[in-house]
Amino acid sequence: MAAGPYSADTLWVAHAAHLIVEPHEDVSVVFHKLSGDTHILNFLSAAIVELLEEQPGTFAEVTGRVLTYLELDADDCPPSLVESTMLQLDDTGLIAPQNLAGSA
Amino acid sequence: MQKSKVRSEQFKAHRRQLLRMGAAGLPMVLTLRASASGALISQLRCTFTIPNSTKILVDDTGQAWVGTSKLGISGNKPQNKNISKFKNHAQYVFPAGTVPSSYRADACPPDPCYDGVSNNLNDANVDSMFAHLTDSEGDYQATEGFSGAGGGKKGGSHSHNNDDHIQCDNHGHQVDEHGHSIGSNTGKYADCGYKAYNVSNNQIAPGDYVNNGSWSLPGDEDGLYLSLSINYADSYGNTGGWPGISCIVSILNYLNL
Repeated sequence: MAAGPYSADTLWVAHAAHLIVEPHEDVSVVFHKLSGDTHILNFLSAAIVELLEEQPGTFAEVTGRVLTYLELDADDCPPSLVESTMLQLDDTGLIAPQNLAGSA
Repeated sequence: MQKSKVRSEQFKAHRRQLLRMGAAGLPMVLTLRASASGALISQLRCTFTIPNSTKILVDDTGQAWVGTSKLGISGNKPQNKNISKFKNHAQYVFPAGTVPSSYRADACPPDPCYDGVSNNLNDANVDSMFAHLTDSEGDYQATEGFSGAGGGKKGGSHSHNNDDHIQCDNHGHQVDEHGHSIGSNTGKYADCGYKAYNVSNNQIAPGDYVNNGSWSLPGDEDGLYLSLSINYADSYGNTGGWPGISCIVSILNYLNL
């Protein structure tokens, strides 16, 4: 479930200016300035946010970049897990479809 | 974030395990919502302990004195001999009308033995005034408007007024048929005029007495202390040394009072 409409072609983005990130070993504590909520991200969700801060991407694009970034293969991290994690991040507001995301 | 390119097999195994749990439905994001209610609850959780030996003296007008001097309280009655010193050494004094009526002392009735001009109605002048009413033994004769029981057991004489059965001791205070003081503060403890409350070392959690956005104070001495605390906060805010004032003010801020 996502916060808004999306498709396989949707470009997702994370705005670094909206976030304060504090890495702690294999998790990161992320404060979302817009909502005032604090989130604890594991290495996968943190990597997705970091990659989408650098460059927007679709589910498929992000999955490929995550596997490379974390040195994992598709057996370890199936595309469905990346997609579901991105939708969780969408629910929190940490990432959003590019056409819906506000500018920094 | 995860910049290290060299991962131990154990580390990777740990991550794979976590990913498997994620594929099985474990959330990859944990949200700590800084909800308003959470912050408000923490405001209500403060507690404080009233300093040792703290007592509250209340009179019949609702004035209060708070201090640590000796009062010798027995059943909310302070010892008469300690009252003046306690008031003089009180650390905090609240004006009349401050204390809720349920905590106030009963006012002492007007002393029928005291004429308001002379010392009392037992002196020689009074006796001479009523000399025409006395019998040969010096006792007052029962006449309409006056009474005399004769032979006061405490050795006192008897004064007179328009009430029946009124007896006064040698000091001009009304006494009962046994010579005991009535409605005055001539005994060891104050029967009227003052009440005392011992709040020494009481631990109070003011948030326990907040219901639906307003105070619901208990009827005990803690309720009295909180009542005074709220009054203090109204005047001085979170300043001064009133024990627990910062806790009280935080709750008042929460209640937006």
